[in-house]
Amino acid sequence: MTGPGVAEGLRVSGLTWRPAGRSAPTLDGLDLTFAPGDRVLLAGASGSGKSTLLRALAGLLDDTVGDLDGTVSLHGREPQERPGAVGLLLQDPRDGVVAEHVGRDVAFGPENRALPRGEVRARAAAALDAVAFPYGADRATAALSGGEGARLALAGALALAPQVLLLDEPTAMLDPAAADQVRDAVRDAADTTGLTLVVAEHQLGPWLDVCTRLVVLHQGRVLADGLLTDVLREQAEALLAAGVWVPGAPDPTPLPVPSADPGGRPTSPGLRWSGLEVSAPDGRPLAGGLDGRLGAGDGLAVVGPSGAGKSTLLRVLAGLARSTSGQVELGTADGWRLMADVARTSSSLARHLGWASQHSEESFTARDVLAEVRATGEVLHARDADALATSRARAELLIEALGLGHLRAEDPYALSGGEQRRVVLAAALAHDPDVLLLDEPTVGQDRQTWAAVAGVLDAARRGGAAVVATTHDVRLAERLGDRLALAAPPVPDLRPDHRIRPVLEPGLPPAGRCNPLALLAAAVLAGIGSFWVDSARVGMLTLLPTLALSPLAVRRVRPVLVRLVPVAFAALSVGWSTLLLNAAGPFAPGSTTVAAREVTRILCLVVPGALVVGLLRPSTLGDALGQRLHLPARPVVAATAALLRLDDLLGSWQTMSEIRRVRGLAPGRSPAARVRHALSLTFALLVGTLRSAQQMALSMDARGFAAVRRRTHALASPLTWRDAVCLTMGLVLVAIPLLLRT
Amino acid sequence: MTSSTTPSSSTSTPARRGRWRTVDLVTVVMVAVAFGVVFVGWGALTNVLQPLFLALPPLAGLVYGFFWVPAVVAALIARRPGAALLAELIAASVEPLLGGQWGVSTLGSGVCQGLGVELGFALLAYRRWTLLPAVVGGILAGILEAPYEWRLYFREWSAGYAGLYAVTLAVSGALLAGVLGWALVRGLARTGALAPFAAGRDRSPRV
Repeated sequence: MTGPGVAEGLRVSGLTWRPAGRSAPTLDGLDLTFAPGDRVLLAGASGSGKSTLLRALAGLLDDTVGDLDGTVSLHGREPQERPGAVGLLLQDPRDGVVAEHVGRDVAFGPENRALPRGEVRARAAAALDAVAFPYGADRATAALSGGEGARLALAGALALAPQVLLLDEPTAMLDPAAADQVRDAVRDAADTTGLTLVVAEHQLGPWLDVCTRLVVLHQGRVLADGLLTDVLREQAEALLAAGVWVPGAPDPTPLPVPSADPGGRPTSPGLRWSGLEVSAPDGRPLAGGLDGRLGAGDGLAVVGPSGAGKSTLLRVLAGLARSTSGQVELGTADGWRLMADVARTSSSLARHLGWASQHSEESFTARDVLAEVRATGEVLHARDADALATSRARAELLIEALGLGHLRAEDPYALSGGEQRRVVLAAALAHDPDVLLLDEPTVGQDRQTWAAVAGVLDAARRGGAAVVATTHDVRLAERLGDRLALAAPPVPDLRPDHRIRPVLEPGLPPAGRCNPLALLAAAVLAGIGSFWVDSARVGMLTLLPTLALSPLAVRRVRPVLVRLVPVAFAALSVGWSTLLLNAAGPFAPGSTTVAAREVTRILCLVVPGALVVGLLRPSTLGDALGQRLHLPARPVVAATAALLRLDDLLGSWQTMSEIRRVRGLAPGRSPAARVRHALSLTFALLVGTLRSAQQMALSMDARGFAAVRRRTHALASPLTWRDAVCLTMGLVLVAIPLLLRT
Repeated sequence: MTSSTTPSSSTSTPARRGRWRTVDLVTVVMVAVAFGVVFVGWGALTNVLQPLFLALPPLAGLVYGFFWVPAVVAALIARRPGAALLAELIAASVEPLLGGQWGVSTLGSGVCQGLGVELGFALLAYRRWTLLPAVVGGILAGILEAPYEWRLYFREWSAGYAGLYAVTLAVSGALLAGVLGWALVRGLARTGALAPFAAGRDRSPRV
């Protein structure tokens, strides 16, 4: 496998990496050589160092946070000497998105290399063609499904003409169809460009016809390295013992787990639903006329591609989201009750339901695993000592069964992804719910832990619980028995335009086509003008043009009114405090005139900006700040990418609140409880944000962001006649109060 | 790549100390946006509390300190000059996007508050990243914010009330930005989420 020249290919020599604060190295004296065109599968147990090795191969290990020994060289040079020569694709493609629209996101790498605009656009279009991206370059990145996002990331890497492509568990979160598409795109790229491929994976089977070589890592050392088929044959035992999903090996048998005492709880009739409709967040109907029934001990697998509404359906079944039609009923001791009624209080919901979210870190509320698993039981049985003892015993049983015993004192956030999912599962089961609703419970589990999860679910069903799980794991779906398949959304047109052009949102008001700097300047000018408002009359007259022009800036009235309500409150509060605190004394004669003036002044100060802000978009604003104001490139781009996460963060806050509600951990009525709850949510949001930030930084560096001094932009930030008109408006709003001054 | 470097914030070279890695930059802006989201809720909470302060509006300053906690948190995490100002600017720019009540003038507040926190750390030459500069920064941010809001929003308040406002903002800044921000960063360090930062290495090592 070694090439003839000394400096050919990607070479690792004596590589040792020990992160700060750890006593054992993650990578220990690795020696590997990848010849150009090699297609390598990288396997090993969780924690064996696969991800770390990939980062080292990309030259992205940060030697300020660990000890690095040995060398990594690409054709005799540092891998990061030409940024983008080594492409790195992360497990969650959403972490790497930096732009609002697909075309700009792919152009990120070439922009970082400061290539001329024409070449940036050409490379982006070619990369999107190479992965057969199903949408045009103006598709919003937020609207992409998992598989589409993975192909977008691949296009982003290909735009820099990489010689090596590294993939870190690229299909772990994808449904089988999307995984196939991603694999095909990767194979096509490798076939066309002859690049070297290194894929880290748990599930080896699907990659058998792409890769020819297998490297197995164990505790940071190379356990085996050779032809894929040979190594599989020779090292099958070691691989199976390490939990790797060896193709051809028999499916793991679920662990026998003792179930709860069947006589301890009256068996619930289960869950039933009729006429359910599931819609996407933007209102598109996804599935309709869903009927079903689950009795005690039944299982249901909800399958389908991502974007088909599986998670939404789960939330509707849990009473967390409203279905546009139809109803869900839960079988309780008092007969069938509407889930919507059960969901009114957090504790009644928690009593009957166990919920495991796909994003485990959004569930955590406690400082150690034991407290986390016990959390719901503690709240539900706070006054019943016997029930509490039973619940704690169950928690203990689940912790041991799921292999979490040695982690019980650890902070849940500090665990690996697979361990975190098992903690969430244990927490969902500990209080012995009637119905279990699980979102992708087996992602990231190796053979052993899969057996544990399956065993625990079997035990729950024997104990009388009904289990609904969204999953793309075929083995789990088979064990559950029943299947509900949600259909894929319709496939778009076949010849999308991959060229980058300025994106015109449909329904954007005329003022939205102004340069964002012009809009901001107009708002600031209006604010300056407000200083010369010296009476309520002048204030109203100054407001009139703003209100008259507002149809240019807003299409629909209601969102604007919503935005203006807090502004009105602010103005009124200023008026009130003026009445109270003005120099002449509280409620002095004449103070009402002054207060009225202040109210209109605040309105003149704030309203224009409030109207304008709805028209700003992170991408165009970033372009304007970078190209017109020449602000430093890296902070502007980073800020733009972060602002794109705003909707995700809002959604995350919402999800975390919901999860706490389902787990019986909603706050009480008292203000102190609410503040504590809000702080807890803030903390959880920050942890998630830190993780995303680290992944995003890694992805950006892989596309050459670290070395940026000067960058180009795929799209210019033009100033047109509209901006002149906009600025004139601003000047008018300064002139009116100046001229009307008495 | 061939040399091994002992990691420690005190022995890193001065050039490295000032240079912003991508992860520093992205973390600062992302934390800022996250707090922008949190501010939606906090702003709603302060609005609900306004009736409590109707008798003496400057007292409302007692709850506003939370609005510059992103500056403190960003500075304590990134440990670089400018982190506080950048974070506060971004957090302040998110507010009007999400319906903040003061619109674009919130950006000016962001500058004042960010500069105040920066000053708190600058007074110790950016060498100490502990509770003391966090609290001092929180106080200074409040003291800088008061005249800004006095001149822009509350022009008719007499100097006495404006002074009271400065005091409440300073107290609030010390507690809700300085102390709270420091406590948040300590908690985050314990989760391991701050592994790429010096702030994250203060916890006891795992085997």
